[in-house]
Amino acid sequence: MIFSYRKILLTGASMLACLPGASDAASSTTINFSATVTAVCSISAPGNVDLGEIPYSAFSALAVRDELPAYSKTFTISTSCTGTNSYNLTFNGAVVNYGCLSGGNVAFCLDVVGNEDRRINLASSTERVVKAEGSSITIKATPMRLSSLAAGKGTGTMTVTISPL
Amino acid sequence: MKTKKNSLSAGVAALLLATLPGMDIKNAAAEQQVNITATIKAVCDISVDPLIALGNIPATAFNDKSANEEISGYDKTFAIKTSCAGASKYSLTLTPAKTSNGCLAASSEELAFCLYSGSAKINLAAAGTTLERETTVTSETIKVVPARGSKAPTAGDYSGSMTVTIAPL
Repeated sequence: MIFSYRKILLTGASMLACLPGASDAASSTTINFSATVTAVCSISAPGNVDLGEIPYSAFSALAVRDELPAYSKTFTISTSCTGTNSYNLTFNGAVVNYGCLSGGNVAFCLDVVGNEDRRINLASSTERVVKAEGSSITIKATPMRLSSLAAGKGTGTMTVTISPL
Repeated sequence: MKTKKNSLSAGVAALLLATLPGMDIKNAAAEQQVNITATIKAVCDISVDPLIALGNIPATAFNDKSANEEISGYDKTFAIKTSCAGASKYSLTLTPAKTSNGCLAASSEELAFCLYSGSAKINLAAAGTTLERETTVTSETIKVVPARGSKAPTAGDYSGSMTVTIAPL
């Protein structure tokens, strides 16, 4: 009987030792907060780029797909991006001949002008994308002979899309 | 005589037997007193969504914002659900992993998460900020407002973490 009482006492003491200060039970959890900042880009391009008048004779001497650099014209696309420095410009021609923008009786071939001169191949899903940085990009449009050469105004339409990288 | 003697000794024997249990009681009464104790603890528990995602914020939202300025239009609210037994009050301690101007800073310090309880901003301290509530209040609604960090954020994902501890008072 005596020993069993002592046992109880000891048990009580060890229980107390398990609960330092007999403090009340606290509970903790962790919260994670997240947000995604998305880059925003805007673009401004001339609504109309006019190469002017080109004499028919300049074309008739050429083979189909030959170009007339003497009548090329450059224009500037202005860009503005927030949250990023680099972006992709994607050129999407409404009608495309030989990788150039078709104007019906004449086509317009596009080149990026600057530190990386290159042809924008509108017929290629990758080569019609131009990766760039900065606030402007210069494009040169060069007329190209098509088999449907005829006197009259030729107009090609394209859409340029900017995507932040 | 012989039989009388016998009966006498038998009587003594009977007496002796009767005193023995009495001796036993005397011994037990000399033993120590026994105290048995128990402590009933108040218990509190919390549950909260482990991830509060503010979603996409366009980088232009940070245009013309100065360091630590809050960005409106991208708030999100969440609730810390509490339950307590055995206490009338509890404390909620918010311990941010990193702070910036009283807000929880994302690890990169380009974005911060400011917390509000009602319309009152909770000024988060690195050592922890404690709110006291009655246990009758079983939900604490917190509004999260993003803020620009020390520098303007570039595009990307930002996150910060905070520990919430509830304790009965």
